[in-house]
Parts: sequence; structure tokens; C-alpha cells
Amino acid sequence: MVDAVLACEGLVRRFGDLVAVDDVSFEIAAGETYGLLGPNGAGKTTTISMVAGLLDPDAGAARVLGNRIGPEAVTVKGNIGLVPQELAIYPDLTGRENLVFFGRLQGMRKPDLGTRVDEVLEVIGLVDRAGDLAKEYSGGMKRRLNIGIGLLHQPSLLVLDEPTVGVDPQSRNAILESVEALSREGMAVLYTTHYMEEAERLCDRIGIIDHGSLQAEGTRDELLRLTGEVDRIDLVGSGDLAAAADALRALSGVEQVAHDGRIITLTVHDAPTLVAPVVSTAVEAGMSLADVEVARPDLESVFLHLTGRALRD
Amino acid sequence: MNPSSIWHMTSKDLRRSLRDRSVLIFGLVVPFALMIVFNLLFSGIGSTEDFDPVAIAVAGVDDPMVAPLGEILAAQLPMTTTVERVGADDARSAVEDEAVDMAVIVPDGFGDAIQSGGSPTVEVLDRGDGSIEVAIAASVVEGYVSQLALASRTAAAAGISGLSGPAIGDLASRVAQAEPLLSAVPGEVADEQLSLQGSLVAGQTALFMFFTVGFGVISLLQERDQGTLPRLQSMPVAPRSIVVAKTLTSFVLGLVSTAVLLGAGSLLFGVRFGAILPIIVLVVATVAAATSLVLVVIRIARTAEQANTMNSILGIGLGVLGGSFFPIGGGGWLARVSDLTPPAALIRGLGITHGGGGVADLAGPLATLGGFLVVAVVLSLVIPDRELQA
Repeated sequence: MVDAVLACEGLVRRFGDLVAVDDVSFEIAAGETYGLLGPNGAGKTTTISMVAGLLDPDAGAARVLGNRIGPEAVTVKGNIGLVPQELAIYPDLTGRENLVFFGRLQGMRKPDLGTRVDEVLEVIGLVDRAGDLAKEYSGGMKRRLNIGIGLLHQPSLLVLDEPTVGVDPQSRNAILESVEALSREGMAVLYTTHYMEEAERLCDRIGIIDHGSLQAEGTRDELLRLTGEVDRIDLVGSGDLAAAADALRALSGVEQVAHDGRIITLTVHDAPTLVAPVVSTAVEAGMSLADVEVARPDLESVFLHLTGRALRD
Repeated sequence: MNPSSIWHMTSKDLRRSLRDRSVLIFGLVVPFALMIVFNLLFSGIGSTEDFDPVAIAVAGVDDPMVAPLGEILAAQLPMTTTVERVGADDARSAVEDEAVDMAVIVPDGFGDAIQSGGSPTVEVLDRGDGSIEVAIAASVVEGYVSQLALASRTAAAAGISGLSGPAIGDLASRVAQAEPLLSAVPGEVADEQLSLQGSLVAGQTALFMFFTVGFGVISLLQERDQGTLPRLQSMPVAPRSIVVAKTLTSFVLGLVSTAVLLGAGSLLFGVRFGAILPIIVLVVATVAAATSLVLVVIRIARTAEQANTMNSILGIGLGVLGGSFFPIGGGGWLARVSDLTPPAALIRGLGITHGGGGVADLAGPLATLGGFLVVAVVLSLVIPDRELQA
């Protein structure tokens, strides 16, 4: 990848005898969201700590816009926005004061700082509560402020470490929408999570990490192919199932069709795309549908396939 | 390191400190309360009001040479004194009957004897109960008689030199009543001790300075506990800037607290510590020394709570050792160790400024504080850094 915003090359980090991160390499381009998916203790946070310049790797290097990042790389850090897993806000400062303080540390000055703070407050939905102390915020509002601080200086690389842990569904959705919007604006995003659904929804590419090692990486579909599993659509109903099965075999994207007198089972390449034509074809061929079930292999399946254990073990 | 970033972090911490009531409580309210309580407890010590009244019978003070003695006893003793002029026999019996505490009997012809170079005896009688008031009065009589003895020796010398009788008497009279040519007067010297109230203000200020400076530096560990340290470390600021900012916060808090306590304490208790410049130099050096100690604490403590506890123990220990509550007297090793603590240096230094000493006179306390700071900083550098590990 030529224009990588972040390039990690053979990152290794040990804590005593424990190898927390072992030879991890990946790249993220501008406008790309890269997910690090793995269970707790897999090495995600240690990897992020090296990417954000909090820790020096024992071997390998992380580069942001071509510049090596580390604890002493002060200038390079200005290109990174970190959203730590733990809430990193001052509860006894207001939301606005938190943003202004971290903005100043990023080198922002009036009047740009004030304008940008207002914009971020708008994005994270805290305009009305900007003057309240952060300790008076709900959990979701604190999480949004936590993210807002990372966005403030419009970094080239946004690093989010499990930003939705402990967040209510409404706030979680707002956070995910914000990340999608930032990615569309061209920001490179490194997103760690152990929630499979978030990785599937947000990430252009996903790295599966376990025991400190990157087990595999690629797009969702690339990873799914590693399992050798395919999508499946089950049509449940009555009528002329044999005619319907014949008609379905002619559809593009359908690999196999079988029926047992009550259920037609299809294996397909892309179930979500094919559901509508499959249903209409079956009905037109004389089948009376009672139910439709779609089953897809997911990242959980991929993780299980690669590591031999479940993602949430 | 970027001074601007350091200042932003420091000003943020100062703002948070002002919102944290514990800083105000431990930095100002508690020390003031203790100053007032201790002042109420100890304000009677050394007061002349604690002396019992004393009754003195004097005999023979009609003689012009000793006439002032009665007035001196009545007016210049630190306790309430009653002086009764009686005859010699009455004076003696008054003591025996315990009607008075003391009697002074000047013999007949006392003045003539002095003027002629004789050696008359002034008799001082008391009830023999070891009363401090009587001892004070007796020492006053003794001092007065000593001056008359000088007049007697002058008269004797004049007689030997061949002066006539009237001239000898006149000379002896002048000597007896003259102000002394040489005198020892109480003066102010650069290492003068503080008054009780001054010691209270200085001692409590020194003690609570350790608590106040602790708030700034301990907040570094709070940053880690509450998760903001990784975010600070991800900012485009040199890692050392974070520690420097926390240290600066401690220093500013300590400086403000010390200045307010000394200033308000001196107004409240009517204490004067001397010229402002040497006081500023002394306070800056003391706060710097106290701040350096907290740098050691944060190297050892793993959590803000541990650091707070250690800081409190060290603060109280050094305060007690340094004489914040009671001076460590004597010349033993404890007193020598006490002299090496910042509270002792501050109290001693304020004693010097109170006595009129300038910056140059503060060399001893400043050297103590400088040595303390150097040792603490070296220790903080030697002890492995744990607080910044994410």
C-alpha cells in the first residue's frame, strides 16, 4: 500500500516473559477503517499503545505518514487522535473545558480552537450540556466526549480502542455513525473491538488478532472465504417445490439447490443480495412461502476457524 | 519541552485544585484552625499574669541614698507588688508572721557609710518557701545594692587619693545615682527565636505545606488511575513535560498556601516576621524542598491513595521532627536531625528574619533546604520510574 497513513512493520512488545504483541504488521490508508478484532487480552490495546506512541516496540516499528512513532516522537503524535478504552476525561472540568484543554495541548489556539470545539460539540451531541461538569454526564455522554477529544484536532489517524464498551445501544449507534462519517471524510481509522457486529459494520479490512499475533487480515468476504463456508437460504412453504427448485437453479449466484418436500435449501455466494430475487422466483414458480431463513458464516466463524476458540472466550 | 504546554497542564491542574475542596481544607482551613487552637492552649505560657502577687516590707529607705529602692520594687517587678515602709523590727516580724513575702532592711547610717567608703549590709529576708516572685524581687534588690557598692568603692578610692570628706560624699552620691557607663541591654540578633505565636504560625505553615504540595504531584498518579495519563502521553508534548507541569502545580499551590498562611497568621496573631525579600527567598526555598520530597513519593507509590498516605506520614513526621508542634531542644542527635528538616529550616529562618536578618543571614537555613532538595531529587532520579508506565 503506497499511501499508508499508518504502517506497522513487525511490531513486537514483551512484558517480562509475556510476548504481548508478536510480529504484527498491517497498514491503513486514508479513508480506510481497519478493525483489530480479538478477544480480551489478545494484544489489541498493546498494539494501539505502540501505534499511539505510548510504548516503544521491542522490535519493529510503527510509522504515521512515514514518520516513526514513539514516546519521544512529539511532532508525529500531532497526527494521531487517540480514544482510549478507559474514559480519559476530567470529571471535574466541563465538557467544553475538557475539549479546550486537550485542544491547546494539540497546539490549537483561538479563534480556531473555539470554532472547532463548537463543531465537535455538535458532532458528539453535547452542545446543550457543554457547560456542565463531565461527572454529571451519563455514561454514553462521557463516551461521546471521550471520542470528541480524539477528533478535535482533525488527525490523519484516529485510533479507537473499544470505544463502545459499556455503552447503551443508542449511544453505541451514534458512535458507530460518527466513525462511519469520519471515514467518509478521509480519516484513517484503527478500530479495536471484540464485538463482531461492529467490525463487520465499520471496517473495510479486519485483522484478527489472538495471543499477540495477527492470525489473518483482509476484507470481511476474504476472511469468510478462509472458513470454506457459504451463505445459505432456506425457503419454507408448500406448493410446487420441485418447479420452484428448478427455477432457482437458473438464478445467477445460486450454487446448489435441494428440497425435501417442505423446505428448499439454497447455497449462494451473497445471500443478502439474492434473497429478494430468490423469493420472487420461488413464488412465481408456484411455491407458497411460510418462512425464509438466511444463514451466513460470520467473523465469529472465522475466528473459531483460525484459533479454535470462540471470539468471546 | 514546550513551556506553553507545561503552562496549559499546570493551569488545568490549578483549576481542578481550586474546585477540589480538600485543597482548601488542608491547605488553609485546617492549619488556621490548629493555629487558633494551639494559641488558645499555649497563650498563657510565659505571661506575667501567671505570677502571684508579692508583698514586701522595706525598712530604712528614708535614707536619700536608697530612697529609689522602694519605688523600683513597687513599679518595676513583673508581678503585682505591694511595698510597705516599716521599721526594721516590724519588717522582720512581718516576715516571721508571714504577713509579707519578703523584707528588705537597710541599716541606719547606710548612706553615710557608702559616702565614706564603708561596707554596710542590706538584709533581705524571706519566708524560705522558694517562691519565684521573691527570688525575682531579691535579684532586683541585689542589682541595686551592687550599684551602691560601686559608689562605696569609689568613695574609698577618693579617700586614698586625698580628697576632702564633702567631695568624697558628693562623688559617691553621683556614682550611686548615675546611669551605668557600660550596660547590657536586650537586643535583636539575627538568630533570635520566634515568639510563641510566631512559632505556631511558622510551624503549622511548614507542616501543612507538605499536604498542599502533595496535591499537585499526587494528581499525576490520579491521572493514571482515572485513565487520562495515556491520553496526555498521546499528545504532542514531551513526556517529561507532564511531570514538570505536575511539579510546577505543586510548587505554585505550596507557595500560595504558605504565603496566605504566613500573611494571614501574622495578621491574626500580631506576629511580624521581618523584611519581605528574605521571607520570600526563604519560603520559595522551603516550598521547593517540600515539593522535591513528593517527587520521591510518586516514584515509590503505585496509586494516588498510597502516595497520599505516604505523603501524609512524611509530612507529619517531618513536621513533628522539625518542631512544627514543639521545638526539639538539646544538642543530641535528634536535635541535629531536626535541624536538617524543611520545617525546622523555615522556623529558624523566620526567626532570623524576625530578628532583622537579611538574605545573607539565611545562609544556614537555605543551605539546609538546598541540601534536602538535592538529596530528594537525586533519590527521585535513582528510584526506578514506575508512575509513567501505561
